[in-house]
Amino acid sequence: MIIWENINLSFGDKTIFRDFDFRLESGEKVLIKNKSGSGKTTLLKTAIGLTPLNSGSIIIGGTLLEPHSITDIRSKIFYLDQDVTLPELTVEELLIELMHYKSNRDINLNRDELLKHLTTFKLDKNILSTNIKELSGGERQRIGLLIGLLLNRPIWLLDEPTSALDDELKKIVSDILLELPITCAVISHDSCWNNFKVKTWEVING
Amino acid sequence: MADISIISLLLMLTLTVPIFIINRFLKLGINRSLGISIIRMSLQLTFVGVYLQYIFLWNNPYINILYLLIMITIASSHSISSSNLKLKKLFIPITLSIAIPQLTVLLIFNLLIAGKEYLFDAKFIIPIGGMLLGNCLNGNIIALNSFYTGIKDDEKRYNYSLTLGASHNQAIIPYMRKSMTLAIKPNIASMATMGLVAIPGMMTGQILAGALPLTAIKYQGAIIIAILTAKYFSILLSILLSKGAAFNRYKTLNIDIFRKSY
Repeated sequence: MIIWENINLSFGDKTIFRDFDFRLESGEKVLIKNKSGSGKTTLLKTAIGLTPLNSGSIIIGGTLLEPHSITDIRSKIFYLDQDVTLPELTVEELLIELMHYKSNRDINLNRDELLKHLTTFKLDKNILSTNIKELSGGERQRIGLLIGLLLNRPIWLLDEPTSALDDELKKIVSDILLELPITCAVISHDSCWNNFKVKTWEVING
Repeated sequence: MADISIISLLLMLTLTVPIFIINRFLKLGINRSLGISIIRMSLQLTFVGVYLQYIFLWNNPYINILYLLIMITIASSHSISSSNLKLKKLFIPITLSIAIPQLTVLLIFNLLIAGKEYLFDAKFIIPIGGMLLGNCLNGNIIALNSFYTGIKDDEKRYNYSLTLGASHNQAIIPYMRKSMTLAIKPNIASMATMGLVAIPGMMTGQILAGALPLTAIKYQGAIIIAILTAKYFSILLSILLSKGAAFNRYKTLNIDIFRKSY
């Protein structure tokens, strides 16, 4: 569960949030569907401490987002940004590197599980030896989602996760996420997410 | 070594006259800055020559150390101002990262090469100290620039590694590898061709001053190792000590450490 409480945020003269409240209930699957420029991406980034607030608080699973809790909070949230900006390694090197990251040391990279996910996402296993920078947008998105499945974190915040996928894959991805026992917020313009609960907010002008 | 007459020096300066003429002809627009630089160089060298004359005459360990500390302070502010980073926030970490390796290596050098009775002798501490300082300074500028602009330009990827579970050190290490390699590479290259392409400056000076080439190369070898060591640790420390001030408490980069807003 994530609670944004009374948050204020502006960049220069541009106010993004003014006394803004938003909730993501535990186990809820939400589709955030606003016009662009309403701060959707920014809202997700505030929850993982990438965009600091001017004021207000964010509480995640009962823990207040603060400098000393940030590592713990980040380890509970799987965040996927629009461009899936991953280190330029081969997919396999990347996965091994990720499992060495401090928060992921308890996770064992299970080869069978990995191959199963590859099949689910219609990826050939040769992709493991391909460098991230040589992947297409759609392949990168699927690798991003696959990382989410491997990390198995309780909260997923996804920013346009299916924009580069074809209709069949879009459906596969949204079906998988609907089944997972996670709390999830998705920003997307794709109709495959229509089973999610739609939430919007008014855009601040000026 | 025979002293050089002022007349000969001025005659050397006439070598630059054709440069000024050609610059003007080609409209390079650098004559003003070239002229100012030559005048500055002459004044600064005169000034240094005069006060070094006294420092060598007194040869007082305290004055020598004080002189070195002043050089370190100037070097660290210069190192920050040349790297587009803000002086105030990074001054102390950068000064320490220059002073610690430079003084340590300098004392070890003096102990091993000059002997302990010359530990704080002006003849060793000032020229060798200056040489180490210049190299630490140059290494720091390259490393800090590359490290912080590297993270700045790659901010999304850096941030993303944090959200994927990397500790702060794990997230910065790729940028550290790049910047340290970049800063130390010139030394590796210059060592590989040392003596083949050109006789190094220090050796030239020693030979002109009457030393035997075999003595000169011993000093040369020792100083090159001293430079490499001092520079390496200075680069490492400059990154490690500055990161406290350069990142916020959420481990993302403080954009306000940069002088210009990009």
